[in-house]
Amino acid sequence: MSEYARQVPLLLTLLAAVASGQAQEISLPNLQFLTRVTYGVTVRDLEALRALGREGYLDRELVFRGDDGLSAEVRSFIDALPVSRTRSEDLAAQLGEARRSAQGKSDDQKREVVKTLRKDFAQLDFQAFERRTVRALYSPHQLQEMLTWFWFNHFNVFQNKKQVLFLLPDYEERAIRSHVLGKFRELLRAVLMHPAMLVYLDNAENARDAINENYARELMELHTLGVHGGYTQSDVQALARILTGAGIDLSTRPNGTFGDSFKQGLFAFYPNRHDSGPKTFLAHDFPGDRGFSEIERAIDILCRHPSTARFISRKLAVYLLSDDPPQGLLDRMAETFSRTDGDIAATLRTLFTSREFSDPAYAGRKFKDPLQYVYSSIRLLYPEAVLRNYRPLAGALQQLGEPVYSRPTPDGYGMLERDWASSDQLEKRFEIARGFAGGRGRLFVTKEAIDAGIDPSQLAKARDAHPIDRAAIEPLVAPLLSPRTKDTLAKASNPEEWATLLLSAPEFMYR
Amino acid sequence: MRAGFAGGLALVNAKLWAAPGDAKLLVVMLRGAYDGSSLLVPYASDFYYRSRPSIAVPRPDSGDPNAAVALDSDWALNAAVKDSLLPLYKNKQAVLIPFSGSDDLSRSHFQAQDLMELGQGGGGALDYSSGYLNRLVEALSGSGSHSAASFTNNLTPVFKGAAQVPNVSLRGNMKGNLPSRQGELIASLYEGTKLSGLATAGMETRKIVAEALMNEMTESSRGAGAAIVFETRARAIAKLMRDKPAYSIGFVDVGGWDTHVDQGSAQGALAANLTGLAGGLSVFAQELRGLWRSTVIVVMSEFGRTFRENGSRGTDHGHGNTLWVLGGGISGGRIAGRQEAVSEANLFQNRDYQMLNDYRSVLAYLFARMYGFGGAALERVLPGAKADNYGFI
Repeated sequence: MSEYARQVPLLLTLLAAVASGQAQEISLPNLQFLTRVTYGVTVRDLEALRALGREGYLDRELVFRGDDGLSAEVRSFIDALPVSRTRSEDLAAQLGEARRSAQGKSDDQKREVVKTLRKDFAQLDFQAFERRTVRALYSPHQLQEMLTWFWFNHFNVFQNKKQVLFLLPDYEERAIRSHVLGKFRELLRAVLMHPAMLVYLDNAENARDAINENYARELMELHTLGVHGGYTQSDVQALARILTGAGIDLSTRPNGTFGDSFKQGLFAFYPNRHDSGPKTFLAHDFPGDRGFSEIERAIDILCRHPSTARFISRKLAVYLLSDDPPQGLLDRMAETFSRTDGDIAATLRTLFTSREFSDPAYAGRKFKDPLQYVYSSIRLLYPEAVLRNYRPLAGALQQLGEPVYSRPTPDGYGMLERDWASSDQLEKRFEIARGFAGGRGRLFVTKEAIDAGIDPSQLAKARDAHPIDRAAIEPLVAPLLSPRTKDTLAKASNPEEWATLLLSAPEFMYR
Repeated sequence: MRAGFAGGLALVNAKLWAAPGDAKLLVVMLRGAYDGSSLLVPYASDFYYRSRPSIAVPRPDSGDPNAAVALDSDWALNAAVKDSLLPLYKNKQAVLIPFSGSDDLSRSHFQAQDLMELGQGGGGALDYSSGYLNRLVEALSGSGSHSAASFTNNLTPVFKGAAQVPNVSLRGNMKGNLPSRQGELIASLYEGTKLSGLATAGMETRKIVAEALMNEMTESSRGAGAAIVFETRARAIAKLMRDKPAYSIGFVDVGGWDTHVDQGSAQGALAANLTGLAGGLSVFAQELRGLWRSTVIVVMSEFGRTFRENGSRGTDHGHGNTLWVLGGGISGGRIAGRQEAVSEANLFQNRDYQMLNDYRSVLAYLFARMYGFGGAALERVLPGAKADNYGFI
């Protein structure tokens, strides 16, 4: 029996309870808690929290669960995506092959070959977005999916920069996602040794006597210490020298050691390009070494630096609690981070079990970024029926200024209300709300069907098959709505208008 | 090379334009720190050519088809802007101010951009309560019909503050689809909430923009938008600022300037960006028609780039940079501000251009001349800034 089938009787019971006026069973504190650790509360999340208790729920969610708990339907959706069966080594080989076959051809032909290949790669990136999205919409393990976005964004790369285009799905899956609840050092190291980051921040170009500071600076400013973390321009230059030699090898050579260099996946370390002279980095003496050990040591220094504990703690608290988190809590989180040698789950546990996290004064105060807005809209209106078409979601994110994998700069998208709350943003959300409700037919037919010129009656059929289930939705939001919002919702003339207004309401902009 | 200013710095309240409501201002922020040394080329400096073996822009007299175009005995313009910025300069509608920027020393894009948008000097903590263009709108609230619009995806720090400023992303479909009944219901959802002003401004702005740009194609590029597709945006902004007098102060940002690798010189990635940017701004000037005479564009970037090229035929984060002022009614065709010889000895921290002309002193000068601001108004908009006399208005 599939996960989904097993859940159905439970859901039916709960929905029946809800419909029969037992909505008071949904406690406001539970709702407020879950709103911040999920992409939008569903009946399933409430049920899990009620069954496990807050502690049990956290025990479950603070461990990386992979694709556990996904329904058979969602699993087979993911399995059917070509990106799930593609290794970046094979893509690099494809690229090499295409370049070889284009040898001797005209420049135009060469460009055409590269263009075609990049189109294929872009499709793989879109599939990575689909994979990430079905997990975000349907996994019971919501926190890990929220953190996948968080850490990707923290270690942002831009899909349109050079080879990042084909390296990105692997980067998200293997460097980021599997480490989101582990040790920060492992995460940072996986990122540093991933070709996507080395290409994106130009370290693949950084070599002895040909220094490029880009990665060194952002590694301290954005990834670890923070801009006020106590480093100087000379530390940037020292770290750039330490990072020389860490690069990429897109050839088909197998993993292993080759003379002086070693290769792991598409990562390579080249001692001949490494600056082995003596350096002083953050007041530590580096006598000079030809090996990768200098980089390992720099990672250690950065991960154990008190500025990193503070910077990462603050960023997590800003993401999950408040634009202006209280200092006492930040100190406790940073203390946990340092004590546990950068254990992300432990740091989060300090946050989630804090008095502040349960304080109603902090509930419903985080302005959703576009991704949270889009995902929470779908989870509220269509919590169970798996979408067939993810293009409208990508389109909405583009409209709202958070296009998928397309933040060009390494700072990642903002997480503060002031980053997103603007007049244009709100108006676009109203339009998108209307589309998700009234135009939902498009969500439940494939993009291929739409591209082939779908018959309007097919769209209408898809739409009718997925009605707005007001009775099921209402109890999930009612405790959060103001009397004014409730009065206005009561004026809706049909379920589509009701849903448009609900997703447009000020309460729904926050979590 | 000369240094210093023409004369004393006492500014009279001389307004450039007769009616207070006439003046229009567009601030263009180049995010990522553009390489000013590749735009305004110090071609008389041998040190420049030694420092940039693969990315220096060729000397004007070199016979190279990519040679820079001389402006005077020291400076030349990249040929990438010879059909756009050069004609403006020759028509005395462009001023370039090298050795300019902020005194930020973090060399962090994000810190330095925010500092510049907030209109602060370096040193202290950033105060996000208001940006300088918001304070400008506030200071002008008593005179004429000045109000502003941000042509950006979101409201960035420059417009944060007491005055409510709408933003227009110029992305995607300009036409709103929300039926008026739903718009009214949504407005009532927001009544009395802190987002109320934004929600109603958003819906009103959509109507205004849809009407003004009825048949306008809008660019579909991502993020801040590459300079290469800037022209479409610039045209739309010009139409809005021309036809909607309410939008007399505008702000737009353009990304794609962080050229750590293979930046090129008169050809290549940076040159293409410069062509797109300057081309877009000339289109903006044309689209404004008669109003161009009372319009000023300021182009700036958070800091400059290293004077020497790095190990990847690019440049890393630096300090001083070249700021542009364009306008139909300015006395342009000159290189303005304090200067010093371009030499190794004069580099800042042995890597960057010095910053001799604080961006805030340029803005203060501009606002004094454009809006007739005295010391008190300037102090409100740019606290602590000193209006140096740049002599172009």
